[in-house]
Amino acid sequence: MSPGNVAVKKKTPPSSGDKQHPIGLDIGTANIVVYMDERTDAGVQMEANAFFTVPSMPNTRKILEDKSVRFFEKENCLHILGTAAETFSNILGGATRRPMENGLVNLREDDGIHVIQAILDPMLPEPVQKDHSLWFSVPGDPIDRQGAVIFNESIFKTYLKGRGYMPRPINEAMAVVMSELSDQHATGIGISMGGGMCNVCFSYLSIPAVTYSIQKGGDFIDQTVGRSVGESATKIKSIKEQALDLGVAPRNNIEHGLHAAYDDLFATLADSLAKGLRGSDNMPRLSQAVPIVLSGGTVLPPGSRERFETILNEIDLPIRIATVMQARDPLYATARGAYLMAAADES
Amino acid sequence: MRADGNKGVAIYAAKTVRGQIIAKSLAVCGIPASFDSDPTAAIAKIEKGEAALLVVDVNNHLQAEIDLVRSLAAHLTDCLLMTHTDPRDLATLEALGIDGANCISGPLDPERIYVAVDAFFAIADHAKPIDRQSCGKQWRMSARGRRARQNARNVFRRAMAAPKGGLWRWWRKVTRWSLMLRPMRRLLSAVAILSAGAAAGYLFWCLSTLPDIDRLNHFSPFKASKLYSSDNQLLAELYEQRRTPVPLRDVPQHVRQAFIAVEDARYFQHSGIDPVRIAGALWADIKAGGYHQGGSTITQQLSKMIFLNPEKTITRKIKEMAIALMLERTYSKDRILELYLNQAYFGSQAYGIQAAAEAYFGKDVKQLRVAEGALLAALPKAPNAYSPFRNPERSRQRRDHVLQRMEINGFIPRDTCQRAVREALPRVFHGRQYQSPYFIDYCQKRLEETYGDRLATTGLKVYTTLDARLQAAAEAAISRGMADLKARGVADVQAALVALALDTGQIKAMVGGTDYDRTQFNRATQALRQPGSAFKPLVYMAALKKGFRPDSLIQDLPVAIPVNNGRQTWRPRNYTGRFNGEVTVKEALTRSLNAATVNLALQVGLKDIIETARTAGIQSKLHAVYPTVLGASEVTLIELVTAYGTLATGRQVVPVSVDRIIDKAAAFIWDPGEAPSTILPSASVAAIREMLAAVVTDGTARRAQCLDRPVYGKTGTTNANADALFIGFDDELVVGVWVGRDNREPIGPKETGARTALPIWIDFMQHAPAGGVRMASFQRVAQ
Repeated sequence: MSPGNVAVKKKTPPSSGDKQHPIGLDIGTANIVVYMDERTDAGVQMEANAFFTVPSMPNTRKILEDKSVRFFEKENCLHILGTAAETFSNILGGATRRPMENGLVNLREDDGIHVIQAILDPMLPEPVQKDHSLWFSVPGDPIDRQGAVIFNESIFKTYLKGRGYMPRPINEAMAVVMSELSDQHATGIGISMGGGMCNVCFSYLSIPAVTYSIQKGGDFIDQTVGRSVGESATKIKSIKEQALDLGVAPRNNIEHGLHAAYDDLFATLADSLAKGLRGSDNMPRLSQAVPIVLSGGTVLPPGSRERFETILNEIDLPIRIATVMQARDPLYATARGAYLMAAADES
Repeated sequence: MRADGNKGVAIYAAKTVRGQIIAKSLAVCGIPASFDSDPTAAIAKIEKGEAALLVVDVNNHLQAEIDLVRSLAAHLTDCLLMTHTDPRDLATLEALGIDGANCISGPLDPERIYVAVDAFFAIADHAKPIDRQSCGKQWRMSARGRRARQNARNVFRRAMAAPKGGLWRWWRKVTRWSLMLRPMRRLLSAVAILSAGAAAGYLFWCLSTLPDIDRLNHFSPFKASKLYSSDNQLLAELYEQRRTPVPLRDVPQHVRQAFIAVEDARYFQHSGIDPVRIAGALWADIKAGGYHQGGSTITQQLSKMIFLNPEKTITRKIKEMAIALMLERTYSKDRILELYLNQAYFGSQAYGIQAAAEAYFGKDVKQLRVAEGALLAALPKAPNAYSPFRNPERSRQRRDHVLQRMEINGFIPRDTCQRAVREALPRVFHGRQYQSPYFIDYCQKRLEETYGDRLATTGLKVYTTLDARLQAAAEAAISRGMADLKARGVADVQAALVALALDTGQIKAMVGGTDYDRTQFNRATQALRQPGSAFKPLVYMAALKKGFRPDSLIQDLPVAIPVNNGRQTWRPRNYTGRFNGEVTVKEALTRSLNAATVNLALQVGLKDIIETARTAGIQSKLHAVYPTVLGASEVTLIELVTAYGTLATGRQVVPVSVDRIIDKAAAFIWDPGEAPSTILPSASVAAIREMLAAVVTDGTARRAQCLDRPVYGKTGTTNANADALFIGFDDELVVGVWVGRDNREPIGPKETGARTALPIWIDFMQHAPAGGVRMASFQRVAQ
């Protein structure tokens, strides 16, 4: 069943009138972000990239319609979409389902692509004119697996073209560089640490010289710690987002586990930096030190930046690092970078 | 602008990313560059003249690009730059006909590529294509080429380092970390505005409480008071701050330049504050991590000295700068420098350049040499730390630094500097000029009773009564007397001498001890000692006033007098142990007969004797007991001398130490007091003089006959020879000498007044200049 047959009250995205706004789109494992106009809060929309399935019943359907909850029905099931899915998950128990896993479309979910499209449809305005510029983020190839993301990219490109846009991909971490380092000749390292993966891009004068990804992210932390302490990944995620501070000593087993998982993730990331930068022919020799920018929901806990910097200082890199900083809005940086690329197209 | 550079660079690279990096690097540095993934398109740009240089990046794909490289070598060798990763490929490239000088080996290096491109265009500007290879070689080897390459590197690094955007982007970067971005920005903006307002208010407050610099017109720094002898010799300076202001014209040019060179080399260029100096001092402070050097000009230092307290606060600093600016607007540079030189502190209580010159070199400021002026200029920064007496090595280094600064600033030539550096530092402190220390102390105490703190700060000229020549004679006589005693085996005794002018009471000489540095106790004015027989003339004067005459008969017979409330009986004995029966008053005094004196005293009465002594000038307590008549009650030497002066003249003699005082305005401010009044009958005076003369002609003071003029006096010796005195006078002076020990131990056997004190007295009277007593005249203070 296609999302087009779903009796869903569409949320009307901000009216653009006759004016064409460039659009930046970040389709992440945990969240989908649409960035249209940074001057107003309404220009940025974020929905959880998740869905929650309940049996289809008239009453349930009516409630969802009355509450303007996004859902679609298929095979006697109602699939509640987006952030509402997490809400229902918390209320009713049970885990949300993810259309993406490790940064890529989750092929184990039959309706994964449909869910993503259903979530995106009300978020994206109708194009004002043909070939409305839209840049969307794509992950980098895993460091040891080239070409793994081509399928991912083509899926979204096809969908967005079908919506009437002129979609152009931008590496997720490169988008972070464009968002945060545009005043430094877009030279530096952008790291997007999302739910499913960490994307890394070394950009030199806005040219993505080195890009790769590692298949570890926030979900890895939640699952690892959950298994260690016997709690659900959802609960671990909730604690991680609300109470974790990597700058202070852990107070309980869960926090101990989270600290250890973060250290493992950061160490893996730092090692990959050394390997990825050293092993690339495209890596230029630099006389100046370059900054590193961290973004993504995984670096939201306080102390993340400092913890990563500490671990990074123990690694011998082929370039000098000027500073390790965090994006202004870690959740929106990728989408904002894509937006800026689209805005450059418009001007 | 290079002609070929306008055409830019065409780039072909086997790997798109590398080609884009090269193109972007050149574009950022201002060289138009375009990348093509198709080598044909890139070559076409060269052939069409759209680009002047072709950059080919073969990376690790040389084998796949062999044909291309061969073709490029054949046709475009003079406008080709090759980049490749593996250095081993260089041999292959050269074998293909590529000039090795046009190859860049190693990892992709945008900076090297830019420098090479820049060099290509520099050579192209000056050489035809056919000559470019040879010219390029020469250019690369030349100094100009090296400089050009360094310049290119600097250009590249600057281009890569310069962040885009303006102040707003910087501001956003400052606030970027907070998730509450917008409210944080507003909050920080509000804080910045409030801070600026507070700073402006603080500045206004500082400047509104500035002192009035017009008072500098009436400024009068502390001046020392000076004490002079009656013959105008400087005896001493009394100062809180030793200072003698001098006009700038009296300060040698090289001395002024020394101060300018080390304290404020740009003194004549700035207007009170020196921003260059402040910036330099701030940088030095930052490097040192704390306060290291000040940036104050001479004007600022002057404003601090005169107007402000020495505390180190921001408020004080702001006021100091504001006052400095005001001073510069009001006074000339020379005037400010003059004030500074006269106000600066040089250590050892020396304020001002003149006092410093006297203290350190014992000379006038006009006589200072270059090295000496440099040393003085070295001191104000830290007078104790740079004192040549306390820290000679540090002082030398600082002085040499001043000399170097003088040479650097062109004030002195090199050879002068070198000579001055070799000069030795002063070793002797020319401290207080202090002659006649006991008299100075006596004088100072009396002046302080009248003038208090003004004495040391208001620059009075005090003309004392002391006669420098008589003083010198007194000190010499004491010295010789002590030497004689030492020769006789008597050591560790003290002596004192006081000489008063008979007609005026002026103190002409005073010695209070044998070693002022060891003990400042003035035995002439402070020591209460028994006068012994030297008291007798007062007894006889009392008798004369009561009608006795020199030829009156009295009994020199044993007498017993109850003392100690009758518990004991005092039986005075004569020195010889014998009693002489009936004797004249004159004989009793001449021969210093104790029994006769006591018998006489019994007739005169203690009350009258004590009153006579008081009238004569004895202020100390006289016990109303008969041993007093033999000198048992303690008195000071000066009292005794005063009393003898009264006996000698019949007028009340009061010791006077100051003749006149002149203040800074040259006004007389000393009131000499009333003229002495006659208090003794002239007949009694004549009689006592007759009797005291007989002491010299027939009595215990016969030695004094060696003097070539009539003298009068009386010896005094206390029990066990603990004190030896002689008090005597001629027609001008009354002089008293005392010898004894501070611990009241006997001087020695046979060390009587006649043997011990009289020779000193005679010595003094012999060497006192004839007619040397100046007859000072009183001047009344103008009403």
